[in-house]
Amino acid sequence: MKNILTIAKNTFKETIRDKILYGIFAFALLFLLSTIFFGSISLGEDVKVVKDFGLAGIYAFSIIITVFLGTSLIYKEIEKRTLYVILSKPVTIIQFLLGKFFGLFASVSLNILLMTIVHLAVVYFKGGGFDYLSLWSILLLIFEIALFISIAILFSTFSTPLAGAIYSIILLYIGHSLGLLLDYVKNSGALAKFFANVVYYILPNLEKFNIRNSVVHGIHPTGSDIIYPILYSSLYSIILLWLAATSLKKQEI
Amino acid sequence: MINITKLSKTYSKDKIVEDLSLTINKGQIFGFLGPNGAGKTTTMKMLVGLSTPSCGIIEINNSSINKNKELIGYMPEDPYFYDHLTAKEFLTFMQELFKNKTKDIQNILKLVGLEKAMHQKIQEFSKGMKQRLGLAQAIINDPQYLFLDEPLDGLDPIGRREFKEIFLNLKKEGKTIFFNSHVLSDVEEICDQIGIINKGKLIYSGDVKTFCGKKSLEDAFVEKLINK
Amino acid sequence: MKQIYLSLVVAFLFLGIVSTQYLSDQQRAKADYVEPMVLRPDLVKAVDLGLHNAAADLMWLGAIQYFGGRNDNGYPKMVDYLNFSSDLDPKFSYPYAFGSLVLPTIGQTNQGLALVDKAIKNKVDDWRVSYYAATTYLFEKNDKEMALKMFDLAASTPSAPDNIKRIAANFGSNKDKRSQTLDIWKGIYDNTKDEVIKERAKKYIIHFQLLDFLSLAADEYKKKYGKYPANEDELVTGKILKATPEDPFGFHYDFNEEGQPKARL
Repeated sequence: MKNILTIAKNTFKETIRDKILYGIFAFALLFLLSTIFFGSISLGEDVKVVKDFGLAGIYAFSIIITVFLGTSLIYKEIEKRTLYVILSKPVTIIQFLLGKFFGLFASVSLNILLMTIVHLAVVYFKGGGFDYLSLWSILLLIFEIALFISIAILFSTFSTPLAGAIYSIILLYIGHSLGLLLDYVKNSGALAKFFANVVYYILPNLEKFNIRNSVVHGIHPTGSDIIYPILYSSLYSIILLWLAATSLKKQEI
Repeated sequence: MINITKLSKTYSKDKIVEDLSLTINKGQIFGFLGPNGAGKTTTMKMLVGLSTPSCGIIEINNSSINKNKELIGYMPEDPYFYDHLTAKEFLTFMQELFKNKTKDIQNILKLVGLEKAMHQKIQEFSKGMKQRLGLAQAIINDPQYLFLDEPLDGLDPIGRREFKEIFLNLKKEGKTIFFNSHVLSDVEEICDQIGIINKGKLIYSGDVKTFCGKKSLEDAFVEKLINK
Repeated sequence: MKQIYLSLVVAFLFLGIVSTQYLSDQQRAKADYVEPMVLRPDLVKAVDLGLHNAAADLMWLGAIQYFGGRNDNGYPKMVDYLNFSSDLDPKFSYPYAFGSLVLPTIGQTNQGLALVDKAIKNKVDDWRVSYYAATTYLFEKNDKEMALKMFDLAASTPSAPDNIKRIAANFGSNKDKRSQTLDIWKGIYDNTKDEVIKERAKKYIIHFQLLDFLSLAADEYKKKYGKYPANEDELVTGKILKATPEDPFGFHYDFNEEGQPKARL
């Protein structure tokens, strides 16, 4: 357990000092502040536009940060052989992966929280008060990002950062369209429906974490809106990290 | 004591290491030699538990590798580290992975000549400095057994002398050192025993002086390889 | 010296870049105007990563820009813009309301009211939708029955401001029709930050205030000359008014036997 914390601490330090992170974060801040302008040309719908663009921006930028940092996370360790230095110490592969996961998760979560603070300030400044409902959306975002980090880590155990990034983005789009897939086969035959259902349940459904659209209209999320996605993310991440460990072990041989 | 019995490693039909058997007594400096691609690094990886042997047994202190990680130190060939950490942060990181008590970081850095670079980011280190840090992290836990892959690579003559002194001192403390090298003059200077591997097979193991006879180690080595 | 030459070359190159861009823009501007293409809602939903609201807002901003642009075509795509926003974000109430009040001004009254039906179907809870719809039914379609229904709906919406509730609740029961309609438009004017809607409401307010003004002027004329004037020009020649007032809709007025202003068709 202590090993996981140690590795997490160091992964956090390594990732949080990465210059790319600062660049992306700066862009994110610029974007969040620019939503003020977009709001002002919306003919009186300022607060809504600012909220929508703010939440969308936080989402987009946290995905970008995760892709940039996550897809090279394990790859770098293999390339630079730092992985070997660590594994020659009394550390297991599982401890190593969990440490990397939690370290990166902490980095990205910190960025999300900072962006959220800016967003809340912008909404308040625009007269929208303290947007506490958006915090539920941010909570689910953090769990969606945890799942996405696991995906990126899995890919980074066997692909280059570029390939891993492409796969991750593809999975991101698929993850948001799974519901549409089921709609699409509504009027098809049983075989198509079966196949679609298999795909639907196996691939990660990222829409489950999306309550942005209702939260902006003042609709409170229910208990199950919050609990199920958190459970889903935790279980799915565990499976993905286990797969990543298997993938790493295979490469050692 | 390190006991290696019939160690083999095969990667999809390529026999990288074949039927290797060695015994290294405690408190010795053992030099593992061989031309490039002979299987030295693969052997060392198996010894420190980074690679699983295809067959054969490795025993350190009469038990298997994985139970012994607290007792060993490993320095990989051409070591790389985390660019954004300082030397101190990195060694602290390594230190925290051990349950047992470890040595003081400042002393270790002093020993390897990196005291001034304690708070410097690793990405600013020269090759020689990285080698020194590599040794530092290998001895941070005061290991009984040290496995070093080309430890003198990239060091200037002064650095090489300093490292060799460190090895001899460690030997005095009763540590066992197993290192890969192809710089034979260094091996000649500090090793008690050597092993020579060529194309995955062990072609000599034993006393250095006996092997050399009247020749230099380099001459004896080349002769052995050409003859075999 | 070399530095100066280098700077001159760079400056010259930059001038070249600026002028080629300028000239190409000039050429573009001369080309025929092409109506923008409004994306299909279902396609956007498939690729927007769940950010439907943001997509709807973007299209709404696009609608505003479109409406503020060239108007020689009658804005044929306006309905598409508004339908896009409401398809992607059904609870986004403003496009419905905006459409119901503004589409009639570009000759698309039925499309505007279709948006209102959509809003009701999507259970959109915004007083502006039903209030603006009521206004359109009253002034564009002269459908008092539907107007009454819509005013009822507006009055019963919990989030409606008090003066709106009052106006809506009192519709039909107030004898003085003109002050009632003036109130209806004042209700819109006072409760919006939208410049487009404000402009429209302002026109109506000025118009109805003008009618009141003309009516009072006609009474003055009767007091002086013993009968009502035939038209507004007579108010000027009769030295009651200095000039004929300007109606925001451009109407000119005659007077009926009771001295009430009637727009000249």
